[in-house]
Amino acid sequence: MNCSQAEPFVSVLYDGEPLPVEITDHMDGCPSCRARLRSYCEMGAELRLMASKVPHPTPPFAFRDELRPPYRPARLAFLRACVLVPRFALALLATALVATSASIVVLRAQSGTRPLWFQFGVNDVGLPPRVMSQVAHEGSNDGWVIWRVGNQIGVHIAVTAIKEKSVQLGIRARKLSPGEADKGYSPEKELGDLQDHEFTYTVGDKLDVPIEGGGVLALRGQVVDHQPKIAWGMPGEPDPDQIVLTSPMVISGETLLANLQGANSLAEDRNWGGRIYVPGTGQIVIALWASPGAVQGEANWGDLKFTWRGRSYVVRTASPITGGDQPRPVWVTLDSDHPWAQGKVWMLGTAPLTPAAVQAVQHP
Amino acid sequence: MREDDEWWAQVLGHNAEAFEEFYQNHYPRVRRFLRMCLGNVPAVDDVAQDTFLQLWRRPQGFDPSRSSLKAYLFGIARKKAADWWRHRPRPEIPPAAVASGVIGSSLLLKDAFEQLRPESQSVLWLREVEGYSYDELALILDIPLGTVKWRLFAAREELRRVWKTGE
Repeated sequence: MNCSQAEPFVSVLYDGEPLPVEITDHMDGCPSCRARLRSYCEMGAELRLMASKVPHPTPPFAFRDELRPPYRPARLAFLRACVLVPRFALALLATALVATSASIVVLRAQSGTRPLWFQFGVNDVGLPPRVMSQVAHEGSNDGWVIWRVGNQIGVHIAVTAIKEKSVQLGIRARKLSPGEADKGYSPEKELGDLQDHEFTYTVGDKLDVPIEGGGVLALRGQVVDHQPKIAWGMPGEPDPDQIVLTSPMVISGETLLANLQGANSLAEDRNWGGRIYVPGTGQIVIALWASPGAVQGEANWGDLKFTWRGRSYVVRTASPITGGDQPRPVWVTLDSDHPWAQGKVWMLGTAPLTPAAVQAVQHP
Repeated sequence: MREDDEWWAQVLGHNAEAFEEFYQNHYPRVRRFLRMCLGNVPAVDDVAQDTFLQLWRRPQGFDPSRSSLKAYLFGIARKKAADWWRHRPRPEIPPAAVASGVIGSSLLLKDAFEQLRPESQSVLWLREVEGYSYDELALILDIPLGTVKWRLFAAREELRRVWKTGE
């Protein structure tokens, strides 16, 4: 028996497992194997020490919607098909429901037990804070990116504590390299090596956030006692040349593919479309003008329907998707091979549609 | 009835309240394991949440006669981490960057540990920190018992080599 034969058994001995006699005989008198055993003990102790130094608060379960009963549109369709109700009665019912919900909101707000939400917008200094915005509850670790022609910035924002007049934030921001825009947002790659900087935002003020690589972001927001459906700066009634995606859900058949509650995006130029990225499905781009490869769909206030390769999809949002006469045609592409398809994070944003917009993103 | 069986029965019955409690109790350990597997990246929380989501969606994948529910959970986490690595290869860490991060011995070990291959990190962490037996490791990692022993040895040697080189 020599050391090279005994070496693998040192690990087994360290783990307290039984060993053949000839191995233990060798180790008894072998300084090299004993030194190896001591190293293992030391490494084990260091690993456990290291583990004890990494406390981390447990965030709320991110898929709370999953804990509720599944979405069943087919059953609703059955009800619609079988029950005939006069329109005025439906309108009356809707009014009563809205009034009841409003009362509940008021009552709960008065009781002071509702969690607070932070609704905010962030943008380059000097521009209106409406292009990217977000609502977040305490402890949320939402992260997203801003693409801006001529100035691409990656931002990750964690909302750590919300009080009535102030909000604690952990923010990291970096100017991204040109040409990265359409390769897909990878927070780990772009921002993973940065540390969160802690900020206290005072409600009503503007918070200047320095960007690594140069520049400043302006953040503004407000604290509310309910989850706002229309985010900071988003138009409730879009213009005919705007696409607004407010808390969109993507449904196919009876499957809810995405539910981006609290997320919003605005595309207001014919060079840009609304973009929803659904893990496992791909990137959906919605435009108001036809483009090569796009299929025609139909937008009807908060509903958008389209069929891609024989499969029907519905995008349902919390506010009208676009303005003008409804229903109106829209054009949709679904790219399942998009680089983002490898990701596991649902995303919302805008997508360049024309060569000019692509060029502007890639070569700011 | 074992505690595991009770949890599992609740999850199988889609008891959201019980699942949230299970989540609260086990999230920190799963996250810590993934933090070691994936490094300090924002995706750690996503992968951890994804792990629990899978348990919630497919609780019938757990067989109480084969392992504990916690071991099953770590098995899911390990697979999720492997998926993550497949799609997002870790960038090379320049040696200078490692050396500059050295303050104490545990920091150095942390650096060394982060340089190990993901399969080495998983097996070492589950054995040394979570305290799983060889049998449980075989189930979590989905490898034969003999491979568990060999992989542990290889991982310790790898860590020892990197750690000692860094000192």
